[in-house]
Amino acid sequence: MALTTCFWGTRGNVMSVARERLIYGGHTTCLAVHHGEEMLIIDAGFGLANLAASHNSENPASKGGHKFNLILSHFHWDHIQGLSYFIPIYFPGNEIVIHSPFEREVVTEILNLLFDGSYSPFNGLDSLPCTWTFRKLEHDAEIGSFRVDFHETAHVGETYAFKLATDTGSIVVATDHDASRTQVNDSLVDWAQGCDMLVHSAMYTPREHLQLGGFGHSSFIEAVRNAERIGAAHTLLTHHAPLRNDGELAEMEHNLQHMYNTDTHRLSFAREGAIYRVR
Amino acid sequence: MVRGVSMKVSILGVRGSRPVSSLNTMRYGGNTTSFRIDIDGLSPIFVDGGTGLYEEGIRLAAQPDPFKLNMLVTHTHWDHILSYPLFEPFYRSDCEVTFFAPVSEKTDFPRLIQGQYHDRTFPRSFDEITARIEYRSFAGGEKFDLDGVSVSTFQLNHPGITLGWRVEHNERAVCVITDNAPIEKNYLGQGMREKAAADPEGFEKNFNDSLIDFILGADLVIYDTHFNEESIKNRRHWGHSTPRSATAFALEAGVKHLLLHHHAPEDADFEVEKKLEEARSMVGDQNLVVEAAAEGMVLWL
Repeated sequence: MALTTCFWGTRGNVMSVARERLIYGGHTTCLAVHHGEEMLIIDAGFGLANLAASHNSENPASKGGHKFNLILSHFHWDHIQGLSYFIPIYFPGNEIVIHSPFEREVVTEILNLLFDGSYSPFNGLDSLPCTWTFRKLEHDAEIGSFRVDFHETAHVGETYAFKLATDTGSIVVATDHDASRTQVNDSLVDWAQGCDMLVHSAMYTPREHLQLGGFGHSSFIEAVRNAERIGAAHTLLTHHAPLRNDGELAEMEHNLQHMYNTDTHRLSFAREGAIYRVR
Repeated sequence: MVRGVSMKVSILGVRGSRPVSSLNTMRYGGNTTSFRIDIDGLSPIFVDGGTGLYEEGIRLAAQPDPFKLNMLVTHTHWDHILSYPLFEPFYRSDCEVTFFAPVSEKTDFPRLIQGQYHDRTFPRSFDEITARIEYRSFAGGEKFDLDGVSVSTFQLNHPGITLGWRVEHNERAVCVITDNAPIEKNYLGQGMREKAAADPEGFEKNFNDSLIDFILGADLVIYDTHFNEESIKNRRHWGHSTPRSATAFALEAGVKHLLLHHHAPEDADFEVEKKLEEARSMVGDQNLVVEAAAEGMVLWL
């Protein structure tokens, strides 16, 4: 059974709209991991609205009776802002299961802020016709055929990386992580060992990382070092800086590939809409 | 400013509900609502802080000298405010910002901005704002003078409290009417249902007449046309208009130039063009120019 991932949003911080950023994509973070017919969604940036277009109101699959599993790494706007545009929430009978290592009260407080009547035409989570289920994620939890584990990342505020393991293979997703924070990073690297695919934050050039003080994201060089240490067959770098154009990203990707790729190990910059085979 | 020009209006964001990025929305653009109005001798006026404002913030913060900004806000739904915490000038101590925002029944505007800085939702804290920010609140129907520029407000028909804005200078006027739905017994704005209860027809006539008055003779009206006659069915409670409704108001009010705005996220460029065609077919040989708002557009009044 194939294990694949599709990036619906690859951009960090803020939605980025420009003709010269279409290849790597402009929507904020959201990816779906597919194992056979099952899908786990990770994070709900505007990419989730993009994903929802395949579950739009004309699609009978959206008319209710469906269950969607969403895992949240943290609650920065660029990781949750797409949830209110996820079409299945508008249909009764759909169940949205939100998994995260956070306490239920934390999740509902933040999502009620997102759906607050001052910021949206809704009046809190309960004003939507779908059913919301909140699951506090335990280590090595089972979600369908996935075994899901988590590890803290070095970010601004409490944030997690996830490991999704199946009979086919495994993927580690660490979209928001500053690999220069040695203590957390060493532990994360140990924990991630043995995965087939690594999705890793890489927002900055080393100079930008120094100037901006990291802000919870890795430089390209540190991301590559983590890729080496973790040793996944395929590493995907994501959370592209908002104004980084396709040309610049393609050139960096080319240079890093030249430096890193071997017959058994390769890396790419995640592209919106692209489907990658984990195994 | 060019001789003979009173105002320059720049379109920074055109999309409604949420930003979109795809090849088939690039002609009109995918950023959410934001406009810039420049008037000789006055600091820039911005309307709304959708994603269209983000890059503008980076450009503004790159200038070496101290600066002042006026920020008008139509309402606080996400697509109109989500760039504010990412707006670089807020983190410059030599920047002065005055917000002109709708009053709110539930909580005040500064608290809503502060709410975007919840420590779990944004990596910077509200206290990191070093710019001097002042907040002024307005209800529909209020007027004030902004350094010689006449500014007025009108409460629109949209969930919550949403203000239309009219900015007038040297006998030139621009109006921003977004987000707004035709009334047609569909009372969405705060307090409207109650006001309409005794005399629905009277309320509706009064709303329509007042809106026409508000945009009367304007040189440029930017108007919410999220829907078309088909897509508005079953979604009337969302609080948006159609090209047909926008054009009817603009013709009635003797507006010179109508800009269709708040394009639906699912509208590809050709669908925006269909709306434009519909609006233009209503105008015929009457004296109204209709265009669809596109990012990067600059209009000189």
